[in-house]
Order: sequence, then C-alpha cells, then structure tokens
Amino acid sequence: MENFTPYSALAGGGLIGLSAGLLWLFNGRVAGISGITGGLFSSRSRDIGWRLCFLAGLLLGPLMFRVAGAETASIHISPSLAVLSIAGLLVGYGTGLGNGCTSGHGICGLTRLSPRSVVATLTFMIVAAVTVYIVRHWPGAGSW
Amino acid sequence: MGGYLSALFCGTLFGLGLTLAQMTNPEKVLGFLDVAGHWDPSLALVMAGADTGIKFQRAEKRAHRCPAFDRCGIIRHRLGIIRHLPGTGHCRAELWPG
Repeated sequence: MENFTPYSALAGGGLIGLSAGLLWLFNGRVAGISGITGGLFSSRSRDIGWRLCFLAGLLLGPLMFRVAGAETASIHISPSLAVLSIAGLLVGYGTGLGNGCTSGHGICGLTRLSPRSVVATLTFMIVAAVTVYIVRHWPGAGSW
Repeated sequence: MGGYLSALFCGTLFGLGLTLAQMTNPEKVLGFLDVAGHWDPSLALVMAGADTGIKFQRAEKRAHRCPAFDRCGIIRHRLGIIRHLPGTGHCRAELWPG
C-alpha cells in the first residue's frame, strides 16, 4: 500500500461528514456536489443563493489551506483538454442520471444505507476501477 | 440570511475536509481505483470518516427540530416529506425508502 495516509484521510473525511450533517440540520439539504451544482442550472431562482454560498465555501476551503502555508501536493493533470472535456461530460451526464455522486450517494446515501446509493456507489467505483485498469495496465492503452 | 451563512460555512468545512484528505489530488483518487497498481486505500478511510462525521443525520427518521434556516411546513421533497408538527417547534422528516 503506497502513499497510504490514514490519519489525514479519516480527519478530512470527518470534516466532510460533519459538513454534510450540518447542511442537513440547518438547511435541510443533501450535501451532494453534483446535485448542488446541477441545481444552479435548473432551479427556480429562489434556490440559487444557498448553492452559490456552498460552492463558494468549497473553493474557500482549499484556499485557506494555501494561505495558511500548508503544503499541498502539486497536482498533475496529464490528459489532454479534449479528454478532460469528454470525461467531464460523462461525469455530468452520469451523475445527473444517477441523481448523485460520491458525496451525495457515496457519503450521504451510504450512511442512510439507501439501496439506491449502495448500487450507485458500487457501480461507479467498479466501473472507475475497471477504467483505470484498462488505461494503466492494458497493454497498448493510454498514451493520452 | 442564516441559510446563506450556514451553507457557506458547510461548504468551507467540506472544502477543508477534501483538501485535508487530499481528495483534491487526482493521483490520490486514482491510487484508490488502481487496484492492480500501487493501491492506496485512503479514499475508503475518507468515506469511513465521513460516515462517522455524519452520524447525527440519523435524526431524520425521528421528530427533530425544524431545519433552522429553511421553510418548514409540509414539504414534499424529492427525497421525502418534512411534516411540521404544529405547536411543538419540531418537524418530522420521513425519507422515501431507498
């Protein structure tokens, strides 16, 4: 097991869970990022305010890390813009169809033991793992 | 107004959690998905941590105080129903099964 960071993973996850629980408690909303973002485009305007606030906070978090001088791993994005665009489209379409993503289904839904969320999470995890396997280990694949 | 502030606060907490857990780094996520390579189970721990952090969401099925900053009445939501119990300052949220 390489690069295993159990303590920061647990602590970070705890913060995420806390955030989701508080959003439910105070706003009655599920902290599913794809849902919150998607709702910006299809919602009545009454609904947009809290979404913008949440997303602003989402961007503020990492910024606070940076300002505090904590070292964050340098991020390397290797695929081309074209591949990224296609991947983004797939993620957007898929989370829309599935009504959720890793935070909505994987965290909020799994905690409730919602069968739909279990199915959704297992599906996208397995498909993602298979895709990674093909891209990384299948001979001849992935020089993109 | 309060709803905006709480959403901002929760979003910030979420962003802090993501960054702390290094979920903002694609290599960290890919490390979890790359089961045939150098496998990094950290993402599973992130989800475990989140599950713990969210535990008081269990109140959903019992009577609980109205979401402090959202309108409370009978709200038929995509996820379920929030029924205000008049005179108690409480409401009951019942989620649709599944």
